[in-house]
Amino acid sequence: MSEDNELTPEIEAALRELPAADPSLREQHIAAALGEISPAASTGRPRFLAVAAAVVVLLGGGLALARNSDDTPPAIAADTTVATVPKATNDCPHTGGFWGDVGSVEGFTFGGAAYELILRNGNVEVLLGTQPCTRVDAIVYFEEMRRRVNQNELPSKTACEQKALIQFSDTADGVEFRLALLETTDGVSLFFEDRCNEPLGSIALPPSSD
Amino acid sequence: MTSDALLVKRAQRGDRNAVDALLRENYDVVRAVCHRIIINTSDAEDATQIALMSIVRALPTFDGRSKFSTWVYRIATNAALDELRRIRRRDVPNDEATFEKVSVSDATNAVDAQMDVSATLAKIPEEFRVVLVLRHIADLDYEEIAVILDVPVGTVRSRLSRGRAQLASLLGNQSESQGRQTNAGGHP
Repeated sequence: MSEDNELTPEIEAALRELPAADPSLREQHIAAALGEISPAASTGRPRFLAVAAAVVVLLGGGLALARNSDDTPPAIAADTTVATVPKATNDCPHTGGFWGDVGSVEGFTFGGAAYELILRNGNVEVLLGTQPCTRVDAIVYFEEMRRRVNQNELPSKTACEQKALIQFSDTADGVEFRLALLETTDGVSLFFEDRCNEPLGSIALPPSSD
Repeated sequence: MTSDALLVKRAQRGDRNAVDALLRENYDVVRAVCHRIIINTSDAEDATQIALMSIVRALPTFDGRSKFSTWVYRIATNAALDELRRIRRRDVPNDEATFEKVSVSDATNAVDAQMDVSATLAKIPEEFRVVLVLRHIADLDYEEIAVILDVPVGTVRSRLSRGRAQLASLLGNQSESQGRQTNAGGHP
């Protein structure tokens, strides 16, 4: 409170103190508000599957997107969500629509080539950032987050010294972890920001053709 | 980007868990704003519900130019003011009705004290009450209040000053009155 406050602490405390909400009413309020979430904007595995099926049917399986969906899906956790800002990057169709509905997309370059990083459901997928936009590889990190939570290895606020290509955060069992995709000599590696010497996984990328 | 900002971003993409977390994080202050502006409990609960629904509906439009909490307070305040207007159209003298309601309570001392505040706030003109609530409950600065209410900062300053004076005066009188009651044989 700033120094211009002219109410006594007792009066201010009385103003702020409100009898606690009835828990059932509180839940009712929140449930009703959640009902206002636009169906078009909601995320989740069931919708992902439904949209995926629709895309496959509509496009006859001829697109690279459909081929990518043949890969083994990552472990899904109900309380895992991705957390970066979607960004239109290049000429691949991942941003918005189908892909935009299930995760977010960040762009980066390595060796002079454009790539996209799709974050969803506890894993990161690196795709070519230009046509044919196919997937290069993926790194699953959710299980490691959950293991750390289970073993009480909670994240600290330290960050990697090396500038990250992409930073994001994700949660497991309510605990938020910050992650960073760092450039290495032969590709990219994913790290927890508080454990920058222990890669969660790496993806080799072709060096510059120059 | 802060964890709150990330949560907002997730919520804006329709992440139900993130929306749920944001609602829970802001529930108490939204409710407090509505209750302190409206006073009448059932109307305030209605406004709380409306405010929460408005927050969810408007999430995609939040552009990050203000703090998320300021944006939430603005929606809660607008919901409360809308509810007050609705109450007026209903033609029920809300403040008086509420004051009667709280005055007949025989609850505990803590609840009595709480009701004293509610009853006292009910006696303060709405334009002062709203500023008091935004300053002392939502913890907003003058500029933020001015933006929310769409009035000049000077107006916020003068309303706050007058509101504080009225509140302190009314509560002071109550204390003196209660003190005399106690001396004369105790609080009912």
